[in-house]
Amino acid sequence: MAQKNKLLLIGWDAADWDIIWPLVNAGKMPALKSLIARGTHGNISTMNPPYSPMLWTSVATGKTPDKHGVLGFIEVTPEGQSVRPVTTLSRKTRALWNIFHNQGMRSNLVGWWPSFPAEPINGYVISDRFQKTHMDPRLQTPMSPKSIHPWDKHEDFRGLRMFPFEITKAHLLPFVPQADKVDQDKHKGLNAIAKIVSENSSLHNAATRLLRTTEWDFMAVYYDMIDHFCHSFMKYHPPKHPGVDAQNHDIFKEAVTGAYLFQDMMLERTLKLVDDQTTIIVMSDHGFESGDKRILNMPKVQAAPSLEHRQFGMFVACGPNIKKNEKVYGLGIIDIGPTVLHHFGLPVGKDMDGHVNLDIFENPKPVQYIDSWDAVSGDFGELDNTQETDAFSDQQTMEQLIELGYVEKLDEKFEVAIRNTRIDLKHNLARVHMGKKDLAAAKEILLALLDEPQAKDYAPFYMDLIGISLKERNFEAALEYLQCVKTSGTEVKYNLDLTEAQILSDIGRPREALVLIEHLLQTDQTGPVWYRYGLLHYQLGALAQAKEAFENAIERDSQIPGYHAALAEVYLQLDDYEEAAEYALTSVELVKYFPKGHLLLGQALEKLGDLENAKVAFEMAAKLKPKEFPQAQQSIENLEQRIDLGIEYEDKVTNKHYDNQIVVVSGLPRSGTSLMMQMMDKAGVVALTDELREADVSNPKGYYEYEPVKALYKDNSWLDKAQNKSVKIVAPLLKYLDNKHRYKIIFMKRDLDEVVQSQQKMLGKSEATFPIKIYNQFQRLLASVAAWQKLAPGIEILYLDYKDVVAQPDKIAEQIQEFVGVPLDQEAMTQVVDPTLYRNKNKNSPQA
Amino acid sequence: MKHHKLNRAAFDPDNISPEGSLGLLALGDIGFEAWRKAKGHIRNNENLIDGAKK
Repeated sequence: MAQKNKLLLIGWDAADWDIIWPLVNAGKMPALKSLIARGTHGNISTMNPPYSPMLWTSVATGKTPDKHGVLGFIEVTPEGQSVRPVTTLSRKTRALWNIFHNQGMRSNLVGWWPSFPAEPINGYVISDRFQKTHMDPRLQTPMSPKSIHPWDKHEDFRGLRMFPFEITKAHLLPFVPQADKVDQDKHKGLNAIAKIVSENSSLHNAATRLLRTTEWDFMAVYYDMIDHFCHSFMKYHPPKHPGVDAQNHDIFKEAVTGAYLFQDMMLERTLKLVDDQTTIIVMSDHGFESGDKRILNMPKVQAAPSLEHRQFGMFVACGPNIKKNEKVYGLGIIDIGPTVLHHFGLPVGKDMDGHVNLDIFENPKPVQYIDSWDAVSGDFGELDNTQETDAFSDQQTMEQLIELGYVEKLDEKFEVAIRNTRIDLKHNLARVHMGKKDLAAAKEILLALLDEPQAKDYAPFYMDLIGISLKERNFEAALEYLQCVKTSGTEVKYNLDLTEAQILSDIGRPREALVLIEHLLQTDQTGPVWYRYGLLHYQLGALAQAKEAFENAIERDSQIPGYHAALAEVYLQLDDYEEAAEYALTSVELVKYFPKGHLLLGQALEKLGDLENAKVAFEMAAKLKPKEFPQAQQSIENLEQRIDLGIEYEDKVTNKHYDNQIVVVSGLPRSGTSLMMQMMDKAGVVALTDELREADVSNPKGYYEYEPVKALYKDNSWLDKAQNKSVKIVAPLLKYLDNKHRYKIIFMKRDLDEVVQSQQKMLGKSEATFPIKIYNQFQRLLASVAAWQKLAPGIEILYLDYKDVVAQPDKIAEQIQEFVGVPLDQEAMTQVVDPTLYRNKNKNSPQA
Repeated sequence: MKHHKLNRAAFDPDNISPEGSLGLLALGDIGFEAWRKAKGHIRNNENLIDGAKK
């Protein structure tokens, strides 16, 4: 087959732009720099949970782990007698190289995780077992017959395996210049480097041999060097972590940098072995924490080291049809498989979760689809899954996974190890479902795990159930699960204060949450804590404090889009639209699939008068079809009216009638909301009410209430029933309105002194004692309603003063008709008003 | 101790020390095999010398 469209995919596990950019800018990674200059680069987002075998299989299949079947580092053998590192046989779907095989193309695969046992494809497979050898020079490590395909060529590669004991001072010193100071009885760092460097050299030797001597269309090479160096030495990387002792920091501080430089040297050689017609992709599966979030003492949870994995990895592509010197946004590792298929002009499976990223191509072509590559019959170069597999147990790989901390030392009783593995894999599957927002599926698995009689720790399941409960707005359950974690006896130190603060905040107790976070900040000043602190201040309307907290969060971690979006929102409230646009833009640069960021960007641009780009931003938000979809659509509608009709409106009041709009009567309790409900009802806008609360002396004509409104904060699904009707919702609950509807809110204002006095009277409390605390709370509430409305495109508010309604009902009725946008029975409205009911007047008011 | 650097020295098969280097490893199969060969030659030579001394 002609090889004019070759593609070389290079995997650098855990490579992270935060480390790369300073090195590239200092000219220390010239090979990668040349690729960046000649191609397209950007962040690539990982998936949950960020375990490498799962992630690299998603790269190769374009599918999430629930579909591809690789759910962890180890698996239970099919006979259920033992556990082993994951194998090719764990994969339930076809990988890129299987599809290429079927299409008559040749692929070379080196070190891919997992690729053992090697599949019989057109081309070569140097599997992820090839490089694994004993540390001890006295022990032989023969190559397994399944570690290379085709096996009859194995002699060509046997001599390319490097052994850890071959590592010399000349290999070690560039990573650890003061290697002679290492007390090797206490610190195993040099042994780790010997193993990592020898294994990666073995793979690089095989890759260069194949690059030099074979014909291929697709080649994929995987290196774990950066990931393994980071797990062992990132804690010593500058800046010095306060918890690391000075001597070890001094000795190992150059190790991580050394790994990146050596990786770049290998890349330089690789680039010399391909022609300029070859498309090259260098990518990682996730990033790696290098700042405050570095973990010194790993908690005892499964795959604990992955807690140091960061959401964003790195991506660089370069080739004849790849855009030059461009940045790509919104790429995910799941998109690589479909994008590679598209590069070769092959259809993408509709059952794939990833999408073709057309943005990287100079001349993008329409994407072609096939229902599923798995449904195509023919030869795909696959293994017979029924073959005997006991031979695939692998001591070296297991030992390394244990050393790295990904796998706990196996229990001497194998049944315990098997049980733990089975439970861990189920938990991983639940987390995959959570990542896909399939909360019901995740919850079902997690609840079943709680019934496991002998799980080693139930707290991780409870923690995930808290997350699900919060998303489902089931706060009672969240609190219950939180209590379960507290009493579970887990050895893992979860940040329960942060979790509790989130729950308190969501159930409308932000002040209690704030106390927790303020306490937490005394010992933990990481990004998530500052972010929560900012959210709480924002919720309480303290914009200056919120701004400072979000700035602190960004200073700790500048790669979290939510932090930038939160700050953009604050700037919008502060009417600083340029800053708002800046931060919103940064948030969508980090993740393209971030609808809220696009929405905020649109709002900022609209305020800046850049209506054209605002519309583009709103359209992008709408296109991503998230929960913000209705808001984006409403923003577009508003904008189009503004452009087409030249409407310059304040407070977004259009006087336009929208299909299925909901008229909400709101205000503080005792501000005339029942009166207004009665007026709307008589006017012809039917009130949604269940009449459960009977009229009394405080409201002789009835309350016009609807019982489900009280639980609006956890269930707003009934709002469909309120379409084309009016409903009374007190001011504190307005923020829980479902943004998919259009609302006309008639907000009743009344002298706050009068409101408070009226409430005191209604509650049978002394009117002589003025409750200043309640008064202040009401003031803050009114401010928060104004702030909330500002960023809600589907909301229009008409503020009416109670005393005006009583004094001039005819004028008010006309105003309401104009606002609601439909003809009303104004006469009936005015007849409802009974001035004798206007009691509790403020004696100091001029009109009293 | 001498501060070693990750150098990108050009491949010179006639001038390889038994200690090797990351530069040689980065070259892949060619560098690795040349280094192993050089190590083997030197070890053989040392054995020959040791044998002659005996």
